[in-house]
Formats: sequence, C-alpha cells, structure tokens
Amino acid sequence: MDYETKPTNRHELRLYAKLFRSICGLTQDESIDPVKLLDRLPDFEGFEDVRYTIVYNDELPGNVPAQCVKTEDGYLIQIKDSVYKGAYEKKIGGHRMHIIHEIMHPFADKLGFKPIFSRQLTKETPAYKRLEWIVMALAGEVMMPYESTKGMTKEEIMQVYGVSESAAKKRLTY
Amino acid sequence: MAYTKYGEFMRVLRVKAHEVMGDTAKMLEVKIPFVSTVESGKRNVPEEWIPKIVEHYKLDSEKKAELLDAIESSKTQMKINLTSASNTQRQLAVQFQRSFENLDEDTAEAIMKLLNKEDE
Repeated sequence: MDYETKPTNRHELRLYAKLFRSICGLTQDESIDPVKLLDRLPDFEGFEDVRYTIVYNDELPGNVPAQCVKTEDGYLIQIKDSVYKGAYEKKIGGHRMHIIHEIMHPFADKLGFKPIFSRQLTKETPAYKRLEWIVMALAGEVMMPYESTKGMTKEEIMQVYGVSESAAKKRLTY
Repeated sequence: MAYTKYGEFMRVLRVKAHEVMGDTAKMLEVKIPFVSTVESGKRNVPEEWIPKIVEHYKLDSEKKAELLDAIESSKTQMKINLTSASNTQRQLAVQFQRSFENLDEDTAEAIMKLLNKEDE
C-alpha cells in the first residue's frame, strides 16, 4: 500500500544511495547482488532488525512479488520463491530489483520516510511525496549509481549492473 | 521477527562461505521456501540435514556441537518417550502439555530453577 511521506528529490536520493553502499561496505561503483545482501543485512549498522523469508508463491497475492512488513521487533522481507529463484539462478534484472526494492523499505523508514496517515493519497500527490515511488527510485539509484553510469549505453548498464532493460532506460532519463 | 538460533547459525555459515539460501537448498536437495520455513522456526530441522551440513561446511567437532545446540534450541515440537514412565510421570507429562501454552515467563523460570536444583 502506498502512502504520502516527507518530500525528497533525486539529489537527496543519490546521497542516500551512496550512504547505503557505504553502510554495506560496497564501493560506489560495483555491481550489487541483492540475493547475497539478504543474508548479510543483519551485520550492517542499522539493519540488525531486518530479516527475510522465502515463501511459496501462493503465500502472497498474485500481484505481489515480494513485500516488507513491520513486525514487533523489526522488519520482515517476504519474497516469493519464483522471484528469489529468478534473481538467484537466472539473474533476472526485474527480480533482482524486486529484492533490492524490499531492502530499501526498512532503509527508507529509518531515513524518516514514514507514512503520514493523516494525509490521504490522491491523484494530485506528487511522486516525490509517495513512499512507493521514493523506495523505487532509491532502489534504482542503489543498483545503478548515477556517477558510474554516466556515459554508459542502456546495454552496458544492463550488463554491468544486472538490471532490466526498462530500469536501464529509466536510468538514462534521469 | 528474529531468526531462530539455527537460522542465525546457518546465516553466518553462508556468509562465511559466500553462499546464499538457494545454495543451501541445493545442497540439502529441498525447495528454498522449505529451508526458509525451517530457519524461521516453523518446522523442526530434519535429522538427515545434519551430516550434509557438517560435510558441506566442513564443521569441526566444536562447530558441530554448536550446530546441534542451535538445532535443539530451535525445536518447534518435542516428543517425550513415555514407554517406561510411571502413572505419575505420565500424568505430569499430560498436565505439562496442557498448561504449556499458557505458561508465563515467571512461572517458566521458577520451574526451570526447580528442575535445575533437582539436578544439583
């Protein structure tokens, strides 16, 4: 479910993406394997309370590839078996992005992008105030670092960072 | 939701071996959600996994003991052998089973202390 949250912009999101990489001990230009990151998360500062589980496909609604839920003591990322397998065995860009997207949810929450429940989400609510858009954009910035992808072609971005064609195309427009 | 002791043990093993849960599932010849279900404590660790884990991760005797302890602590169900139990012992087991779910922390601790005292 989407919510209105505090506003942000691309410049800020790029800084947050750098922060995330630095927390995870990653360089600012290397390719990220979201599947490997899942097991390592609890070892990183601020992510001690993030857990994940791989569920059978019928345990989540058809249109939900993965989700992150808040629990009593932290966050639980639930990923459909088919999505995990796609990212793990076939390195499918879209599936890798689904996983990093869910990893971004607790990160965004800790950065203060909390739902403003008193504000109803309307068609007029701009993207930069929508939690889901912010998390999606953050995921893109983390997977395809802005500085390192400058001058790259769509195909190069896809090959180097293991993302889908649509994600690489989007990178070239921002 | 915290990982069970077994789940945490396996997570650390994987990170050290540069593996992921998918590799664990392949090694154990089961589906990934089943591995996840066991690691999150919804099912007991199947006995036949133990030698496979020990061999695959080349666990020494100390690490194997840690694994067994983690498995023991993560159990979701336990069986009590009542074959040679007295009537009183049987009654106690049944009573304990009935009361277990409603047992609060303080009472559980008090019983633990009592049992440990018996051991001494």
